[in-house]
Amino acid sequence: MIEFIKVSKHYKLSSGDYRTILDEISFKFPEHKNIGILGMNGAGKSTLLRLIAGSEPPDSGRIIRTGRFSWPLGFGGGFNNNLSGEENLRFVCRIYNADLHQVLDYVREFSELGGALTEPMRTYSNGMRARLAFGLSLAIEFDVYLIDEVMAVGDPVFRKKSKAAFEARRQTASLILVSHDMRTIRDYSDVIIILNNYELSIFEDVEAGIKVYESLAGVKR
Amino acid sequence: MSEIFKALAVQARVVYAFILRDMHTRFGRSRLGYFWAVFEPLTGILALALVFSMIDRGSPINVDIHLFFFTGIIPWQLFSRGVSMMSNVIESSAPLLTYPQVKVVDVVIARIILEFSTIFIVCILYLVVLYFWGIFDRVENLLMSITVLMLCIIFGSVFGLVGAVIKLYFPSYMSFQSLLLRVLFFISGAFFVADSLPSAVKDILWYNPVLHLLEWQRSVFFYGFESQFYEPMYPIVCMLCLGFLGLAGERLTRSKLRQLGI
Repeated sequence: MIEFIKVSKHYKLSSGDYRTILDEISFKFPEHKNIGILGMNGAGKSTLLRLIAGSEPPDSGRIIRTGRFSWPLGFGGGFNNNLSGEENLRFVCRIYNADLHQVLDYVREFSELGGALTEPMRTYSNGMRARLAFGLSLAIEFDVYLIDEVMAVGDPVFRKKSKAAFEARRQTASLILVSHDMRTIRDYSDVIIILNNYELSIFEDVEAGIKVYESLAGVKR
Repeated sequence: MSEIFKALAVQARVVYAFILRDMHTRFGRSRLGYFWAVFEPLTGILALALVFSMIDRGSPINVDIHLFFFTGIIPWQLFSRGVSMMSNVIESSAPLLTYPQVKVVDVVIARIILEFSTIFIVCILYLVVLYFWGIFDRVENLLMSITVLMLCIIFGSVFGLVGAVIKLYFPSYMSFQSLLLRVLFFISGAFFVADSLPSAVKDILWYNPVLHLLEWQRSVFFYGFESQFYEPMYPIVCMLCLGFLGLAGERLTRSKLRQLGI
């Protein structure tokens, strides 16, 4: 469960101006549903995900979380590029108090990275990173998985595998997903949340949500 | 109350994970890491001993000159390593803040623990050698001695943390800091005792907290030496002020990091 109570978030840009992401928003996210988050470029979708995860505190207001939330799985931070995939995995296991051997076995099987696991992560492609991140977070078993754009990478076989793995977790876990790829959004989401004008609006019907988003995108263009 | 314990347990776990990771990057890849850890103080001690023998000067106090330099170089090294290992702490830990339970302060604590343990083990190694060499007998107050050594690295670290914050706003601060460190090495008592200085110089150097730490360290280390110079509260108060500034500054830099694209 996650609830925002009067949450505001701003950023100071290097020009000195402020960019507002959320302005005193109170919002209750639907439970046990896969949520697709849509918004224009720069609206702050990734920041919203970081707020949900707790990677970043809000400027004001409160965020109430119950259950285990994953870190935002994305291309950005989270891994040290000079360390190997396996060393990064060890670190993440330790901070989440997860069983190292169990996780390692699962990730080996799921990611199919093979020998690359012991190579420094700077040699990894985006697809390989996503495979490691997915495998790792699936092995740790979160209640809510936060996914930032990375769903669409990788070959069709791996996409299918991820989908099956998340599908298998549906009883116990849900997704909150940011993507520009409407196919991914349709594939995974039960509801749509649109971040626009510093506000969140929810659409129980995915197609209706996508329609609104596309009309917003049309207007902006 | 149990909330606090839970939070502490999480933090301990994160610190532990960082210690193991840093250990791995420093010592796991090659034996060179150990080599440097052991030989770095030796180069300092031998260089100072060589200079002193060349200008025909003896030990400033009634102990073997190598042991005297040992008690100067080790606390100095703890201080200066503290400073240098913090200089990149904010940028290098920024990507890991993705994990909500990770805070910059965890990285700071982990680095202090690992560095202190490493230098501490090296110290024991040196003292064993010096003992069998017949130069060293025992420490006057072992517990205080360890405490002061810890203060040295913590003082260096908070000083370095403040520097790391300033650096984000004024990148050229780092060249100023390395200049400051070089000057500090000469005025912090690595190779002299404060009571041997002319009183005019002593009055000025009184404001150098590192000199207090080194004098304090020698006073609790040697039986026959008690410095009249140091005031324990002075470096401690400096340390607390810098620590507060550094941690508060680190909070303020979070939006700055975003601008820098880190």
